[in-house]
Amino acid sequence: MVKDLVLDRNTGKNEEKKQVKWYKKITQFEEFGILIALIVICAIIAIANPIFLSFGNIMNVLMQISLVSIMAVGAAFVIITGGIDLSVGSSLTLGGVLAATFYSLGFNPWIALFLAVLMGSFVGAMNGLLIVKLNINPFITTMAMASVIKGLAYLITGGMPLSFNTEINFLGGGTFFSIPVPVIIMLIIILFGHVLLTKTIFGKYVFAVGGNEKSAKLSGVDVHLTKIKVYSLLGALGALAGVITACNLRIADTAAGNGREMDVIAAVVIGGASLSGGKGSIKGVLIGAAIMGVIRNGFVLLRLSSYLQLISIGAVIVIAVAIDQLRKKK
Amino acid sequence: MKRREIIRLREITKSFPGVKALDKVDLSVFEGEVHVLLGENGAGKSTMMNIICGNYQPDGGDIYWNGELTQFQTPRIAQEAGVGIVHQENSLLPHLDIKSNIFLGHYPKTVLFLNQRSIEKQSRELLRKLGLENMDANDYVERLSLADKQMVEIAKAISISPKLLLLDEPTAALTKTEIDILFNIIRKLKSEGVGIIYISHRLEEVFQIADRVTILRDGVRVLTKPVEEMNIDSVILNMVGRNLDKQKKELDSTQDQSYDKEVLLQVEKLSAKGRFHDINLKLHRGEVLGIAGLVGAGRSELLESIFGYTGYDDGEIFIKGKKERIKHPKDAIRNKMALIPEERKVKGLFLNASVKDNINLVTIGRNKKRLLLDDKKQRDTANQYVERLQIKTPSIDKRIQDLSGGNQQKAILARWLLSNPEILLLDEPTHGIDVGAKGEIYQIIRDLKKAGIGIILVSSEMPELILMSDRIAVMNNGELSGKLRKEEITEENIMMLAAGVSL
Repeated sequence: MVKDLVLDRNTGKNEEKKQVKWYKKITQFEEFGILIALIVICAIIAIANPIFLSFGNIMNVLMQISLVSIMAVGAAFVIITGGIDLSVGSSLTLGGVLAATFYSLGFNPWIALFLAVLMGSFVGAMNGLLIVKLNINPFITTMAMASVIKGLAYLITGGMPLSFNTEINFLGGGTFFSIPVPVIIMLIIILFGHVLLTKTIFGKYVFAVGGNEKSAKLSGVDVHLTKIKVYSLLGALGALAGVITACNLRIADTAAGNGREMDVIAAVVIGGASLSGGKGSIKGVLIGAAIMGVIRNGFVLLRLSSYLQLISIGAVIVIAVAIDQLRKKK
Repeated sequence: MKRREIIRLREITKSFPGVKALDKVDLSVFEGEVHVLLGENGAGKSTMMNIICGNYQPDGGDIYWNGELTQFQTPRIAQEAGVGIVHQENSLLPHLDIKSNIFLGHYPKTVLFLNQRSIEKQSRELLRKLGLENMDANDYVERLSLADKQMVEIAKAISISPKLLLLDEPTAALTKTEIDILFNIIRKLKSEGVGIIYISHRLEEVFQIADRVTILRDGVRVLTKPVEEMNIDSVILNMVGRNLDKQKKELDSTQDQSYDKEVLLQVEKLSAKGRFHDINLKLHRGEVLGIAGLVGAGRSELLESIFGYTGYDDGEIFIKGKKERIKHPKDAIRNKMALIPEERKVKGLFLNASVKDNINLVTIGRNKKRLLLDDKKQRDTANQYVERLQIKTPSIDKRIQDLSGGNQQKAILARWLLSNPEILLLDEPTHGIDVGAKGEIYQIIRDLKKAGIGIILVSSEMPELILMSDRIAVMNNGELSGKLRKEEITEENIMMLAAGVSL
């Protein structure tokens, strides 16, 4: 009899679920709130200046967010495990410098690209190793690593920009059916990140580690290895962003990555990830980066002061997180 | 003579997404009265507590405090009115000392600096009042045992001189002596006119301490009666809505005391510094090996070491006669072991994740379709186990933190049953779980035993150990103080060994 009761209850609820399904799907879509915000911001700018919606301008915005998005995909993995990486800007610098150096040493530019990305992932793995083996806080570890990498980049270049004029420059400056190549790379990385996070065992482990490290370990998850992998992934993507930058500018500059880590973290956080771990998405990262890109672009189109732009980006970060907290309370 | 009513709750209603936690519930407490609130997990007891102490706001209904209509918008307001609470889960700050924990939130007002000496003096007085003279108010909470932490928690609640004290399962971590101390404190507070609301799963306590009893079931008040008009059977009948005796008899009749000779797990001279020392155990196919001992005897630590969660310094582990090095839980899983840990929320659950993800994590690799995971397979598995273990949840996409404790525990069981273990380590599997879910978990253990799984059961509940175990090993202070065969198992024998007295 008890069994029947339970079953009755279950089936009752299932029917209820079916009725509200379409409605639920829209509002329970985690990124619903920020997607609406993005649309509203776009609408306002488009009304104030219709050029905003032109193909050229849209490509311009996408181009501008491409590097941050590529790195933010990796940063999302790190942040979902409950970590943080302040060294990604320096990884970008190092990636460009290394590619240019290897090229000047006579390597094929594709090989130079590959080696730079490999070194980036190695630097990231070092971050991860220090964090899990010496149990140093990730904030401190990556802050220190940022300083070390930057120093290395200066040592290699002597502070002078290195020229990078090669047959792979199209990766930064070329277009494909009038879509800038960096935008295409960004879309590929985002798709890759999304699938990796939601459709693989590794992705499930990333959420598990950030959700509850002790439970994850007791469930057989290799917490240390998972963490090393996420930092390594971010390091590789940072270096890739660095090579794309060098391709675009035709030089590798030691200041290229300065301060970029903050944009990267902001994109992930606006995208709904929690710095305490266990929560976040790649869709959110794209929307988060897009919100920042659109605001920057809007300020230019509307001829507003770039100082105001800085203020409003800060405000957006706070508002996005606040809305998320309010949603959680409900 | 009619005593004054301290609090009256009228038709309190509260809903959470997908669940109606409370439906028009009435409750009142008089001066000097102990009002016991009973109900299965998920019946709405904790929600009720949270509403009284201002943590939750009711969706409907009124609260009368001293006869006046009131609202407790925040815990602070409730506290200032005179509501003290001892939470079910530890709310102390481990890195602060006892006195700071007691006075946190209501330090005596001073102009500039805290008067540490006066705080220390008041803390000491408070501890003395509670019969805890041996505790040092300057000790750090992280170094206290679970039971002592609970006592500090009570001291903290009493330090605001409450008119109404809420106790949410205060005895879950306490031993017999400590429970006696607690009951003396309760009687003392009673005589001072403090009203007390008391939640417990231990039914025998109810009759020792209660004046009136209110029983909740599925968010609805079933009855409120003076304790003299109740007995254990009527309490259980009203809580569960079905007769537990029958279930117990069924269990007894199906009880199979025999087990296979094959040794699944053998632990030899296992030692870990500061945790346990020189442990020898054998677990056979189809055996339930109980491990008894007081809180802090090293039982959980032993299980966690065997499972590779925390290492061991010395000794050997054999699985089916083969020596294995278990350095990480993944090694244990490879050897077909499973561990259901003691602290569900700390070591078992992913609170933010869905029921589906919580169930599937250990065996996630089975849901692969070429390179990627197949969502449909995961959903099918989760649905299958939700049905099989009768986990009450509106859907498998529900976040697991919205489920009741018993259903959370069943989800963790599902996670591990999926891995087809041969050796199952259970650490207090029914801790903080209601009578009904307990019965279901006992039945699952029986079924697993019959299927030839070896089970190590750590439990602080004597009746549970005696009912379930084929043999019992008793630990005292990190060492194995004795092993009892089925015919030797009595409460006295276990207690003697647990206290370190040899038989």
